[in-house]
Amino acid sequence: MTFDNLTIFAAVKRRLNWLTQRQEILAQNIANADTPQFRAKDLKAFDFKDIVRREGMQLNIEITDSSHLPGRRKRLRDFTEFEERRPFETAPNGNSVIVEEQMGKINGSQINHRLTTSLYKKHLNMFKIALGRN
Amino acid sequence: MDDIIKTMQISSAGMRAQGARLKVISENLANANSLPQDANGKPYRRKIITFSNELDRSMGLNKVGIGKITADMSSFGKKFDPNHPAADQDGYVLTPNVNTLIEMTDMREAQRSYEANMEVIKASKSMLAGTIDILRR
Repeated sequence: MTFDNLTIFAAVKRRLNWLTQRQEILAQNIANADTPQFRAKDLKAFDFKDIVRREGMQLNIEITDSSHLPGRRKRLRDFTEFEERRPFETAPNGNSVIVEEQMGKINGSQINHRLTTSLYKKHLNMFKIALGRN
Repeated sequence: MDDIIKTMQISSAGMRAQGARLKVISENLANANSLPQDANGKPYRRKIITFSNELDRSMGLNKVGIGKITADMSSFGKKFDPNHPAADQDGYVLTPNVNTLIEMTDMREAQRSYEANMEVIKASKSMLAGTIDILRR
């Protein structure tokens, strides 16, 4: 029994991955809040399928000989991102980033992050109780 | 964890871009009254900064980059001042094409965008602190 096989820990791990990746995308949106023609992006919502999906789906290119070159792949993203198709408003220079909306999303993922880490801690404490080391 | 560090780098690139924008704005404002030296000379021409979305290949990120700083080619203003050394035969002096109001508005926008980037860094920092907090008892 490894740590990752326990449902809560695996779910927490994926959830934290999703949150940090989303934070990266939101930061890109805000940094480009004044870039002409920039379209706001977001991650697809985290759902049950993401919890169930196995990690081993992504294949890496194996190096079996010293003369092999490491394969140059696109960066693997765990979750799919999408461009906001119908933004609330678009600036005259083609930029569709609404800073207020992005800040709201960032706050949301911050709260979710706190919730997830608290869940993790609570669960870990239960294990400690079970081990009799409270 | 890695993504959060990258978040901070993206935000700091955004802050750097806004800083460069503020530099150009202050240049424009400081030269809002720079008149030509003689009748053939030209007054200060307003500068414009543009931002572009550029890919940082080493990290696979879309950062914000500073594009070209170009000159605003709109026409100069004119002021009647026959005693000025740069006045033409009708007594007019060319004035820079800097509109102080536009520059101030631009400055405010840069300031707000800078603050927004700073808030993102703060949010990322607290998320990182939350993750590190798991390690504590």
